[in-house]
Amino acid sequence: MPDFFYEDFVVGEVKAFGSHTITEEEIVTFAREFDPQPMHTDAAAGAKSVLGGLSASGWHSCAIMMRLICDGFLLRTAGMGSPGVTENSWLAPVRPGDVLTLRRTVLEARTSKSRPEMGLVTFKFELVKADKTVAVSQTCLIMIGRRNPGARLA
Amino acid sequence: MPEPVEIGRLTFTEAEIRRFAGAFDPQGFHVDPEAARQSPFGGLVASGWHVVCAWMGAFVRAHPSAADSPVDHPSVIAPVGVGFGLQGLEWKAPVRAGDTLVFFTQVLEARASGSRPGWSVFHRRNSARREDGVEVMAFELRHMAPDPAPGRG
Repeated sequence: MPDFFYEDFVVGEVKAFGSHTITEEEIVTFAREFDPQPMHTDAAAGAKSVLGGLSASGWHSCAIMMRLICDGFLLRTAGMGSPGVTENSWLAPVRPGDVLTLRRTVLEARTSKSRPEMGLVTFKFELVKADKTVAVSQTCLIMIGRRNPGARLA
Repeated sequence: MPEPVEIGRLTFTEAEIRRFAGAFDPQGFHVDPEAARQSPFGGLVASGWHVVCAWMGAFVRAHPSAADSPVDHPSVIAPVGVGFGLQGLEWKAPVRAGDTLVFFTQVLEARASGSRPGWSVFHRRNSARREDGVEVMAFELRHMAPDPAPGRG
């Protein structure tokens, strides 16, 4: 039985979750598979790159944010998948040793007439570094089961 | 406007779906076949981020080699450059073990960077289709990429 249902996500609520310290080995391993640009797989190339030092693939940052979303609340939530991401911005490089946390803002919540068993919650997710710099900002929709399917909400 | 160009294909296996999701998106329907059977998906499905990251791997590998350029040229260090962001990412259909996805990119707009000589700014529509033609994922990407070294491209 999940702890959290659609009804538990209150528009306007802001919460912080988790922490992940990213290592050079993780950055290189991910990039070899999914973004094999020398900038992301080799420290010397990273230093000469436009980012000014070895930095994680932006897709790696998104994947780490997804893990923080899962561990923070989604694995305890009646999640039913996601139709997509409205917008995702890479705002600052993520480097070895960065401590990353998730900031979650509930932007919107609406029920579905055609699918009364669920609601659609729009979140703003931000991947935040220890110095409070926002590395990734994303607006993401998640389908979440309702505690009392079909009940009318005010 | 240029047509979508195929940049690669990948068959998703159950082991790979569970490996990616185990690391980054361990929701039951991505990692546990039994939980997945009882989920709204009715079976194991790949994480949407797995599909997007596999698209990126194909995009980088499909980029023309700059092997005979100077080793510290930006087109060698970062062939497809850096992303600013994406818009309208849609996960349109589940991707299951055994599905082979065909990855595409389409240039919507390309122009020289105003602030960084030797770089260009691209706006693309990227997508993945199953072999039966059903589009399972699409997004728009804005990124800047280095122009090829002089005398190349």
